[in-house]
Amino acid sequence: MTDSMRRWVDAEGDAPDAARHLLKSARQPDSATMASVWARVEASVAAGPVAATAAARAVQPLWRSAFVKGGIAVVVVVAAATVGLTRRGPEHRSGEVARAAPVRAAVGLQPVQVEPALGRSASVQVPLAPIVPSQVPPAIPLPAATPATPLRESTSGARPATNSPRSILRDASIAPEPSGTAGAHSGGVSELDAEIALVSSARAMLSTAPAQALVMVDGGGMTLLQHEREAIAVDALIRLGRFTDAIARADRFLAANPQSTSAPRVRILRDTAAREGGQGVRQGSRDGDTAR
Amino acid sequence: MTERALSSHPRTGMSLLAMHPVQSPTEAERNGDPAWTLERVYAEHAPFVWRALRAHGVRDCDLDDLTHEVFLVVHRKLATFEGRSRMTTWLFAIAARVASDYRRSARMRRERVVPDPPAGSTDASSGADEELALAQLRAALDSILDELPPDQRVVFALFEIDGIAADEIASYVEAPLNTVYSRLRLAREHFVKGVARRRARGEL
Repeated sequence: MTDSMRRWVDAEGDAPDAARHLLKSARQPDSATMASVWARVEASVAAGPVAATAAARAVQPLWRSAFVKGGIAVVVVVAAATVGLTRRGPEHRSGEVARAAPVRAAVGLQPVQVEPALGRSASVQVPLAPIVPSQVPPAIPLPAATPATPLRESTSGARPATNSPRSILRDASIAPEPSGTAGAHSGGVSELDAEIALVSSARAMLSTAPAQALVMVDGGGMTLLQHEREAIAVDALIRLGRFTDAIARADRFLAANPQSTSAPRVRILRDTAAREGGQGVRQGSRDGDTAR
Repeated sequence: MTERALSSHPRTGMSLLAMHPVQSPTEAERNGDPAWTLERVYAEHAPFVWRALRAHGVRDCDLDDLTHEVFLVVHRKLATFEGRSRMTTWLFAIAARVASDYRRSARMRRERVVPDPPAGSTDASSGADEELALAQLRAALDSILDELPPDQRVVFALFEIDGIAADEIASYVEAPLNTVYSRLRLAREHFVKGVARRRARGEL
């Protein structure tokens, strides 16, 4: 062969036009995507080895295991409602919640500490949608709200100026950077750092405290990771049983950002909400469920 | 990273989850190489991992998830990295294994790997049209790449899409340079035929 083979897409390349067009359409790993994936890695690692392993295996058997565990959850919840919880008055249930935590964790029934800001303070039980956190790809990436600047090619031998993922963000100028001040650069990155940390924390809380996760991402002030925030919010709403709100929010997001890298995840969540919401409506017709 | 992770969040006041930096391999330290931590590996090589996964047949819509997965493996295994090979070679091997598992499972869940038409595709705005056209192009690219034999696909994607030098590709796939060029030439022929078939069907 020859050492002079050039890339097809190069100006001197001899690719047919259609092939060059196709190759140039390929998505490149932009810095926002890399920042989002890093936030997920951080959250998974921080959650510990079990969670990290579960997250690592979460992508593949999504629906099969979701349906299996969802089915188990339904059976156990029904059994618990029939045998256990109904035997005691409400005053005993918080204690029972604590003792039943391992079982609840196994079947997907989570105690939720509702924030006072939501107007409630009691510990309530919220049956999860049949997708538990480790089964949903924790969050598919980020927005195109920032310039899709290709990252430095890691194979080129050149190393970033710093050894932090934040240097990627810095290089790509994602963070808003007021000019003319010495501290402006680090200030912009700090803002992004804060949002990444917020998103990571919110995601980590989805499984145990979706109401708090929702409050965190809806607390205002997030300007850089909005797509990620919306995906988390939709997920949290599902876990809170607010399927109608979840569907509406997912629809708004998908209409405005059909090509977002978060869109596939939001579509999956929306389908889940629609499915669970339909069940909730049927159930609600009998017992006043709030899913409507 | 650790200091930040252990401090309180500036907005929520919540205690952030502690991170666990992976300690560097001692050999790297002996060689004077700065410590390899998960953060450093990610900062320097995350885009490479993403591209390696695509080269190994991971669909566009799953690339971010699989990149996440690779770095969780890196987190678990980094202590075993002895620095006898380049970090990129080590990562490439991990990406290949993760992608292999993915492809096996992907066959079981074809519904997830078939690219969705973008939501809102009925929007008549030019922006939406452009996005739809781009999505269609990427779907076509994915499908043509899927038709390539795996060893050709890896070489073709790394060379033609990602612009990685042939000799470097040879080190990743552990093949002679001429073999890389041979695979590239064959892959180009397959690719051109794939494009021609789609154009004949009016798909491009």
